[in-house]
Amino acid sequence: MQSIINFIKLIALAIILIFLHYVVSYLFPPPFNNLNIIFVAVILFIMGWESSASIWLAFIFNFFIELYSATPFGLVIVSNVVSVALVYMLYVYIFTNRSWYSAVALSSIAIVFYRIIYSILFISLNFSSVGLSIGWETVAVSYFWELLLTAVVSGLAVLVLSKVLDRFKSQKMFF
Amino acid sequence: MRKGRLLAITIVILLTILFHYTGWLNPVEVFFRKIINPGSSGIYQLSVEVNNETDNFGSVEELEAAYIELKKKYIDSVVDKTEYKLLEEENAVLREQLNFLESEDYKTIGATVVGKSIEPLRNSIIIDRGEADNIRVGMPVVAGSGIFIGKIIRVEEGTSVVNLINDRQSKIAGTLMNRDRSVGIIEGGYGLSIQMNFIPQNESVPIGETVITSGLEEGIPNGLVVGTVDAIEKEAYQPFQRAIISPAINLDKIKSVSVIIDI
Repeated sequence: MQSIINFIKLIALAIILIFLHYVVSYLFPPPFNNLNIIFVAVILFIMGWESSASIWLAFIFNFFIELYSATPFGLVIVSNVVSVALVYMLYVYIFTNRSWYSAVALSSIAIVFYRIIYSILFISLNFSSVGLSIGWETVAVSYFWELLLTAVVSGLAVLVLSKVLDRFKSQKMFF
Repeated sequence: MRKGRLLAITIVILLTILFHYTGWLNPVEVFFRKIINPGSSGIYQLSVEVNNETDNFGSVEELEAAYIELKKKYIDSVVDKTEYKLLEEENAVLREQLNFLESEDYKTIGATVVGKSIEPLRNSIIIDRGEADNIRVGMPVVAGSGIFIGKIIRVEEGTSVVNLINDRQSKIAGTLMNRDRSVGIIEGGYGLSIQMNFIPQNESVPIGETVITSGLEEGIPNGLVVGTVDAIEKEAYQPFQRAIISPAINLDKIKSVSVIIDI
């Protein structure tokens, strides 16, 4: 019963996050609309609770993104969830503290993983498109802003939360 | 992370993808779309209202260039009112000629834009009409009084995804309204502008010329306005020249569209 309630909580959180993501993407002026809310949320979730539920949160959130996606279904889910899982394992086994710079490093790594996997899958799934032109210059600029903004916001969020919540103090908490 | 959890998430992802393509996941998808659509639509419509108030400039130089261009246009229009009036009249005639939605009896269905793609590799919008409204993949989508903005690429029960003409995977057969009626391929993937490629080198392409759909492509009618020529790129040793096209409508500020469901 508890796990069902937890799952419903995750769905509710994912719906709130998707609206927040739309607010950022639609309302914020460029380049600030490149901020990736899900990675900020997932990094906070991983660092604050160190729970693998963050991977399920990423899955549910990206399932909602896929409902409106122009890319083949599954591309966003796979690339995002794989990168979140990698970052989760990095945090659990390699990173030793809960500092703002850990958040910056983790979110940067997450975005790099995500965009590499996403681009590889995108090209692979569109390899049959004759003359597919990818303006890598503009895409790279967009990826750069996404990485920079997500890393800065994650770092700032952890810095602020560490002053307010015991959960985000520098010592790691194990469950 | 335990291996069991890793295995569980892998299986769930694979089953989700499988069930999506078999259609078994459709009721779940429809349910969540009904929850998300109103919020997404509200935020999108608000964003169009907010963005209509301002234009975005990438740098001070871009803003300066826009200012100089605007000033030049203003002075030109003041200095030569007669020419302006003639151009206005010519423009009105061309618009009348090209307004196919009114002159031709296309069967269309109106739709509201409920969102847009947030992926950097795609330029698409989401509309609130789908399979239940007879929308099918490949149907042309127009905004305003017949301005071609893209094609349907994905249809779900209550929503559809429109691939905009500035998407890097968009390719449309187009015709220039110049003396030669040059044909070429209109392609996206170049930021805000689009390009018309494969225009024979010997044909004259005036700046400001209107570009329309050629009708050579199945399902896309002839004569839908796409945009106007902003610049020409030609190399002496190349058989073709290329036109940089400015879309006739700001593709970031579309609130409602019409899907041509029967030509």
